Amino acid sequence: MSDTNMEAANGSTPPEVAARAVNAVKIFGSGSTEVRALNGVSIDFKPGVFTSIMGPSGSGKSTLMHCLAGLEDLTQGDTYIGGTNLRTLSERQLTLLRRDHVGFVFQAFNLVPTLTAKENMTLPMNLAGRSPDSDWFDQVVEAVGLGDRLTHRPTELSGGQQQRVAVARALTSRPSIIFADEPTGNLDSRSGTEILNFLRRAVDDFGQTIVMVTHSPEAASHSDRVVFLSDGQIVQELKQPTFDDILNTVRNLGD
Amino acid sequence: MHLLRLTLKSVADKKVRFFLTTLSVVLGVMFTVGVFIFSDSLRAVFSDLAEDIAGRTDLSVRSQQDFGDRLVDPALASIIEDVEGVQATAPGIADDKITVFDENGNPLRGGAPTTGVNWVEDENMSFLFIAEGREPRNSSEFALNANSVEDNELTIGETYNIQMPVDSRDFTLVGSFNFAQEDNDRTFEEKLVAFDLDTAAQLLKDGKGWDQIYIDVASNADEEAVQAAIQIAIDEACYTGAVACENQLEIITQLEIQQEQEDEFNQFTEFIRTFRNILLAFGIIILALSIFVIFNTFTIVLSQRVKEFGLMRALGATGRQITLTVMGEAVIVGVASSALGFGAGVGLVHLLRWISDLADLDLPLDNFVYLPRTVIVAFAIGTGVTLVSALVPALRTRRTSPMAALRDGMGIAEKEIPRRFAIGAVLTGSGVALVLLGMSSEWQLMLILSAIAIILLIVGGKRLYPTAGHWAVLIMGFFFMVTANVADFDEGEQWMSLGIGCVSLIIAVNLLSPLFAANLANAIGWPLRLISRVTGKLSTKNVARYPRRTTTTAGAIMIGLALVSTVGIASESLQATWRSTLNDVGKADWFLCAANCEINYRADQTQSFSPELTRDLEALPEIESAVSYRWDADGVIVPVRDNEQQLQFEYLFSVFATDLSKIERHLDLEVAEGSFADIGEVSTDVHNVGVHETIAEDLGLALGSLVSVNFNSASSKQVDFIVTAIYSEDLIAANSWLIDLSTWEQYFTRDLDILASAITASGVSRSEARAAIDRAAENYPQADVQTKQEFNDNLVEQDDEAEQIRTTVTAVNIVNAFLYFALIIAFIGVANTLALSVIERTRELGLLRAVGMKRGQMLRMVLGEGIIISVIGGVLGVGLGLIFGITIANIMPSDVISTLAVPVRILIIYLIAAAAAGLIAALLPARRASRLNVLEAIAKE
Repeated sequence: MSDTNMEAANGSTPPEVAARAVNAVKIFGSGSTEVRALNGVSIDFKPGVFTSIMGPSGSGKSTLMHCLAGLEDLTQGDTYIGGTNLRTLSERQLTLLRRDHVGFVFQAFNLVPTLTAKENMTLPMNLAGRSPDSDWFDQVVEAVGLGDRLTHRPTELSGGQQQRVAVARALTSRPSIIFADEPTGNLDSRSGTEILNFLRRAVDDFGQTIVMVTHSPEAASHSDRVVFLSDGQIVQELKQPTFDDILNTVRNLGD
Repeated sequence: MHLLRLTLKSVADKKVRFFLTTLSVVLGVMFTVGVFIFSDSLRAVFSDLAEDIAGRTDLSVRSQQDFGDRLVDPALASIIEDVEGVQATAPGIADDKITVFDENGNPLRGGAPTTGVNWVEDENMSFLFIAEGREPRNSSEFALNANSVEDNELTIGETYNIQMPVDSRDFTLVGSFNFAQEDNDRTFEEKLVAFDLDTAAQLLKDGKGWDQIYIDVASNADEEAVQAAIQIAIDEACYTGAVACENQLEIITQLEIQQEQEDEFNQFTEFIRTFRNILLAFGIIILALSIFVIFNTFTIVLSQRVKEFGLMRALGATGRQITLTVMGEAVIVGVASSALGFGAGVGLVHLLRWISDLADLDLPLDNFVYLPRTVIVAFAIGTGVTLVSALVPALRTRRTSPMAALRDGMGIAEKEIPRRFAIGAVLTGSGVALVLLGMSSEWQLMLILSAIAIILLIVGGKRLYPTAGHWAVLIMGFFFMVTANVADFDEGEQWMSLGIGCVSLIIAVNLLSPLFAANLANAIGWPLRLISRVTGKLSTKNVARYPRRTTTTAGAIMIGLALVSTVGIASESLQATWRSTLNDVGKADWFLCAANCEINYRADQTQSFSPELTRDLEALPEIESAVSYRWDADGVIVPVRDNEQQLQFEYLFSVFATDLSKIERHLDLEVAEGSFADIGEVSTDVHNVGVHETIAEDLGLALGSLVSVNFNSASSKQVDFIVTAIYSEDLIAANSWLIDLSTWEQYFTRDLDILASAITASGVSRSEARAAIDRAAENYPQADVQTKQEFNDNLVEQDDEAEQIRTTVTAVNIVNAFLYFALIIAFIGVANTLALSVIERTRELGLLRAVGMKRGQMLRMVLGEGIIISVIGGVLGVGLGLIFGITIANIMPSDVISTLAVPVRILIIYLIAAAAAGLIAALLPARRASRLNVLEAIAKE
């Protein structure tokens, strides 16, 4: 990971952190149906780092990601993208922040079905009324290996190809941070590995910052850092983990 | 640009859904465009025609006077012809006081009068063109316009009777001709008879002159100079006495002639305009119903795309961008359906012409006229209606949460309206105030204030309680309805209250019905559950699942059926009122009448019967009393003179003669004043007369008035009468001069009866009396024996007013036919909603199949949904129609509607028809649902 690449991605001096949560609390429902999805989470995501968030179902890992990405508000605490406190933004400002600084890769329903692969990739830029930098776009297309699939509709692509389009889309607008929600959850293992390799390369070659929510220790083993959540709290953190480290931690947490 | 591309893609990708959306707009635009092209083309025909007629001549000389003796001396023709620059002249004579009879003695068919004209020899100046045979050449020949010859199946070479003001004799039909256009008879309803010049002048103008002289100016001459020269020549001729110039002559130009001709056609064009506006009103109804259908389609389609919008929101699309995309789609759909609708409208008029050619209707459509206005209107309404209907669903998409992309089953959030009692109370209060203010205003202000009030009530009410505004509008609707019924308003205000009441009720019922959709579905689904417990229950639950969708779909049916039911009630009440005003004229037990009892004042000698019949009847022991009747149309002439005893004009009335001393036992003439009974002649010189009230009014007669008249029969001497009765009966003796037979015998030579009536002697049975009468009538084949009932029914049947009522009922049926067409739109809506909901429920339907639902059951389930939705609309619509119809019957002036009649049977038929139509609308979606591939359906994302 190099600082120059990071600058190329952002066009500005990189902030100290790409994203941050401070004492984040998220409560769904109220009274007897109250669920504390996040119970005081504080965490920083440094630029150019590939972080995985793991935890059992209901641990709050998806909620944490949604709150970090500004898709949902916190009940208490603050989240930041770059230096910006999301709490201070209006709905419209949040939308624009997402458009210009955040990339998404979802588990399913990732692409607009009426648009071709290429149109899907450039959609966020188009929504902003901009055209993508064509050199950069070609580079991304080449990296994900979709050169001959650009004019295809999502229905004409395999699940793995669709997900590659989604990754390419996230990269095309050179966001400050990419959030990936179980990006391999719906894929066979070969396609899944392919996607993870692309994400890895995005971090290594382009200095991209990635936060990925996953169930899979195998997927998490591609990242630089794994954060474990349980009952809405961070319970453990591994740096440069191996597959076995992760598997052990998961087993321990499961006990 | 990028957004536009996205929009275009989206439209192209969902062709079926967008086609469903457009169908109703296409139909609405098609109808409107068809109406415009049709009426424009008809009007153009008349305008061309005026030009054709006027184009045959350059100038015309005629009297300046508009009335009376306005003839031109024929001697003037040669004087004008001598003027330099005049190519030729032609005489013009026209009079519409003639009647042509066919071989059966019936006047030629067609409502408009028959006009007699002279045949113009000069082919360049005549606007009559021989179609068959030849022109009339002597005083015993005539030619007739081709349409009349054809319509009445007359034969060229045959002899026909023609009645003129001064004469009535037989003429030989020597030819038929086209009017105004060489190969097309453009007389429309009018009948045109041509005689040769001398005969026309003699018969129509008493040989006193011509109506006008047409002048053809040489093509190289200066028309204005020629006109001036002619004026000088005329002045000179008048001065020297070479021609008789009893009245001032004027010279008019071709343009003026054309203008006059167009004015004459104006009644036609006015009629076309009125007709068009009525049709356009239906166009508006169709488009109004379309709004429901499109609104619903957009709402469903957009809610199905909520994940897509969520994804776009997550990727950084603002709410505005989503809304703009959706509105862009609406624009494309609107423009496309306008274009389709325009094309379909053009197709429609061509189809119409084709049908009219096939049916030989002779619609005067040569070329269709496409005005820019038609195109503009088509696109404006097509696009406008689509945009208006899409606006609310499109605005709703702004609120799509980006999370919708990530979670299943997340719809577009309803906007929460915070309760703010202060604002709510103020708004509602001002709404109520406006309603009350409107009540005490002129109708225009009432309309505006009420419209604002509805908005204030809804907006304000929501801040008090979610549905408070809807209830307020409902109450407002009832309030206006009650006011329309009971308040002491003038007619304009009553109708406006009714209109506002109707609109408020429709809006309120539409807004409130989602609250009751589940209950309604439950009640209406009951018979279905009896037929099949499981599928019936599922149908009911499915309909109740989306209350708003269901009631919007049903809303279009509701409005359509409300209109149809309203019209039905109004029409039934109209007929009931008319029936209730009818009195049985015939009081005698038996009637014997000429010509099958078609009381035709012309019934001539051969159809009448001898007065011996009545005498024979009187002599029968089975008969207590018998009376005979005679008629003469236009038999009495009442001259009206000014102060200097100058004749101004004459009234013509028919003479009706009978035995006045007995008449009141035989006929109910609705005597208003005086009496026919016990009338002895006052003196041999002054006779008794009963006059119809319209005559009394026209002539200013009262009981005891003395009046002098002439009889049209042989005698031209003055006869004096004293008015002894004024009656108002209309079916048999309308506009008649009712005299005693003894008076008739003094002044009329004809001694044949047209009608006789008889009263059965007491103690004699009907059959005995009938047998006796039949025996007596045996020798009089012209006399047709009828019972009182038959006679009275017959009179009603033949009555003008009956004709009017029938016309009205026909008009009402036509109105309903258009409304049925509009209703088709509503049922397209049902098909639409079900088709979309089947697509939406693919997985669920697959699941039902997977757990063992049979194809037939699935079919029945979806059909049941169609029926329930439609019947919900039907019940609400008929309910509203009852309220509207009863109010209309109440508001209508009592001489139009005084009796309320609800056609219960028809209303029930409407409900059954709604169910049937719902079933038909559901057929395709149901088929689709039943044919789903189970595995694919379940696997569907």
